[in-house]
Amino acid sequence: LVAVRRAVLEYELGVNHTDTEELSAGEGHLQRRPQLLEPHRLSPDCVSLYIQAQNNLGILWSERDEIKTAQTYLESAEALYNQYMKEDGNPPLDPSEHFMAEEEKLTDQERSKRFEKAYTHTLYYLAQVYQHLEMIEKAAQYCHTTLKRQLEYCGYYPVEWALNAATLSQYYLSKQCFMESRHCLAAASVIFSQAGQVPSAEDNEAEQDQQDLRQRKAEIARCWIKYCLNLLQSARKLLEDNIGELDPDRQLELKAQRKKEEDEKEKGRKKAVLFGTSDISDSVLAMEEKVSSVYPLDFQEAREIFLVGQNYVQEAKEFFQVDGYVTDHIEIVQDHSALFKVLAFFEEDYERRCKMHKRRIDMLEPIYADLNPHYYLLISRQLQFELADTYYEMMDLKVAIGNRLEELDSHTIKKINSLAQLAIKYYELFLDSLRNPDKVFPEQLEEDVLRPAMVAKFHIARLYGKLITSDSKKQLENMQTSLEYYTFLVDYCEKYPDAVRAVETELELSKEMVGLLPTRMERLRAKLCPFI
Amino acid sequence: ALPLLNSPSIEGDAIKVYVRVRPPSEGTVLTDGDQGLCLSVLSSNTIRLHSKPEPKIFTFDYVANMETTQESVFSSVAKTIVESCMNGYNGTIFAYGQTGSGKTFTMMGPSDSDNFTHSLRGVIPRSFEYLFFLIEREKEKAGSGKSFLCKCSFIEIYNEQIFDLLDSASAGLFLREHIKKGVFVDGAVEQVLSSAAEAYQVLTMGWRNRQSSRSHAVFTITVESMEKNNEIVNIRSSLLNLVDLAGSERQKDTHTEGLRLKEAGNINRSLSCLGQVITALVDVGNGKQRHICYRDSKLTFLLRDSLGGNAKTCIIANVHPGSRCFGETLSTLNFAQRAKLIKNKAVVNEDTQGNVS
Repeated sequence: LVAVRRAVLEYELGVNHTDTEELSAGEGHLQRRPQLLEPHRLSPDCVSLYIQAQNNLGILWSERDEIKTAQTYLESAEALYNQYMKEDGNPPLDPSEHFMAEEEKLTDQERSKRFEKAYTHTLYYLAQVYQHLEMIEKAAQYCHTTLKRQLEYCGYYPVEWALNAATLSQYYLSKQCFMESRHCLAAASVIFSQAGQVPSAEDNEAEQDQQDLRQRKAEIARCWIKYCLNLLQSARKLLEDNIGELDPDRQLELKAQRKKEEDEKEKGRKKAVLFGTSDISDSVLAMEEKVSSVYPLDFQEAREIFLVGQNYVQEAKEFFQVDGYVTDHIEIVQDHSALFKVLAFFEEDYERRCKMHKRRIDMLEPIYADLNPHYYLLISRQLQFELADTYYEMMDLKVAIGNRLEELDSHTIKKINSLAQLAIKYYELFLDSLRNPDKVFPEQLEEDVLRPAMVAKFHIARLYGKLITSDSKKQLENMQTSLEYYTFLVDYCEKYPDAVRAVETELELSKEMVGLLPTRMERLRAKLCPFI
Repeated sequence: ALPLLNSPSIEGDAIKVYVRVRPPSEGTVLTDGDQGLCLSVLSSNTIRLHSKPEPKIFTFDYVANMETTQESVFSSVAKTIVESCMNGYNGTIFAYGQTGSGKTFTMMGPSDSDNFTHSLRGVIPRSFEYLFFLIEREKEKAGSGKSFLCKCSFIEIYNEQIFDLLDSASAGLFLREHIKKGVFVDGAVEQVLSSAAEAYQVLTMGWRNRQSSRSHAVFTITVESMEKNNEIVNIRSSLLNLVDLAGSERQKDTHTEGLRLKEAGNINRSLSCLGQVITALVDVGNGKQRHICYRDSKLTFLLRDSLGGNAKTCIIANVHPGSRCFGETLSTLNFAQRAKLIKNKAVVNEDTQGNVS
């Protein structure tokens, strides 16, 4: 007993020293303790103290940048906890109790709470250790477990917990684990709703809290948007053929595969870490049912996910209004546009697909017009490029529609030409944004704009090739312009061979065109002036 | 062997990084001798840190040794930034380093002296002079066709809260964005300036209101020029931010790379830092679409434009050469090395499926 009390004192001294950053003195005290306790570490008197001391040694070594050493301490604490729970499991004594009078001793419930908390801390420190060691998957797993335990032992603030869970969902998104991601988000939404409404009061502080709460809600909505978007985009990746269209064979194949998996799933239930005690998990489950976590395989399924995403777009926009939150607002609009873009992939009817792209134009164009590129250069460029691409896509669709007709009518021709002109306009605006204040285009492009700039040049070249005109002279001019843009690509890559990697396909096609176009132009010229 | 870190960079590309070594306070040199120094300046852009077992060599855009004068720091660091500000770029100058490494001396000058005339006055007063000199020159050149309007604000960020140094009565302020005007501090006082002397007055007045050297102080000048050319009015505006950062030691900066574990500690109610850990995990993602709930710090948000894009930015990393400062000096130099790599990440969303046919 005396030994245990001495160990407690050593522990307290050690913590005191490390808190004031006297690391080596603190280490001395913390190290002496295991020798005292080693034989009894599994006894209810000592186990909690032992774990807490290991935690502190973990912190101490991390402060010395010796993460590996910290890891061994923390992992041994984890192992000890597991062993104790297996062999004994009764609520152990809290270190502070060793110096308490008998009547002050804690209840079993309080003991267990403190013990569990110490272990939660172990897991939380381990999550960080793994993160520092770049064992990302393991770190995420420990974050997940920490969240789960916070929930079980009521050691959380609802809002904060919800944000953490929503953030964790984004980790799972980047790993394409949609089921886990959805679970985290559903739990985030459920727990957030528990945070309840702060009673509306007149004073300023409550106003501020309300504001914060609304912002958090909008943030979680944004995580949901990303969820829907990623699910749709990943499905698209699976389904598309080599020219980016929906591949019906692949679609059938995946549908059959899913059928098979569903049958198998009935047998073995999912085994991921799930949040919550029964009452919470029911709400989480209900929340989850509102959106699928499997890849959509046809328009109907895609549309359902799209609609969920679109609802969250509205919710997020309620808080992130353009006045005051320009960047956030535009990011949300960009996501909305991306949702339409990926939905259009699933649409078979070209006219309707075109209309979806028109919706994108309608939401992006007015924002772009208002935006001051002096302060929002990057976003401004993103919008220019996206607008250009959207017009480009619409033009391609109109051409495809036109090709089905017997003969191109003048209306369709006008439409195609005007879409092409608009695409050119935005690509040029993007390229102009790369110029310096004296309007000079850079000799060498910076790495982060290299590919987009080259793609813009390449697309402009193609667009000039697509413009339809009955005037041969005009046609010759367009071919000439087109040739100039193709030549730019070829010359640039010759001068800076590093650039080739970024635009291999485009370069190959450009070279081909640079070879072909002059002959075609020659032929056209000959037709124009047959007597020369 | 000398690691060759920087390939010839394109003008205006990355952030420029300068290192300035302050002299140790008087007396220390004599007692410590050369042995007491943990670094030596090798050339105007390299510095050697006497670490063990191998010394480390760092290369920067410019290294100012202990003898470098205030005038020479200004002309090599700030002059071009003030000039590009006149040409319509936004410009930012940061001073970074541990407490006592000479940030305030570099930016302001010695305390308790009239910095405006003092020969040791720092970057900020000299920038004022140069800026107004350039404005006067422009005005003379362009005649009545061109006019200028200069305004300034001065704020402090302490504990992730924003205070207005020009209005000591103000409570915490908030950052907002305007679609035409960019990021701004909502409700901060903007004072119109007509001369360098006036700017200096505002600066010293605000400086007195500063709460703590543990806060970031941001002095911002907006330069607006209006040019009339046959009925066409051309308005240009740009920002010049002069930032004295809080001491870098043990700072919970978003970019420090310390391995320290975040303590859940004794505030047992919540593990409030868990979010930061998860955020770090998400950051490692592979360019996939994602949203992170936790915002960057107020400082990085306010100066977002300065970290790439339409801005010219430089960082002056201040270091103290004493061996006792070895640890902090190393982390300052490491930070500065990383700062050179700061650039805007992938700018344009662009995907290619289906458009090459």
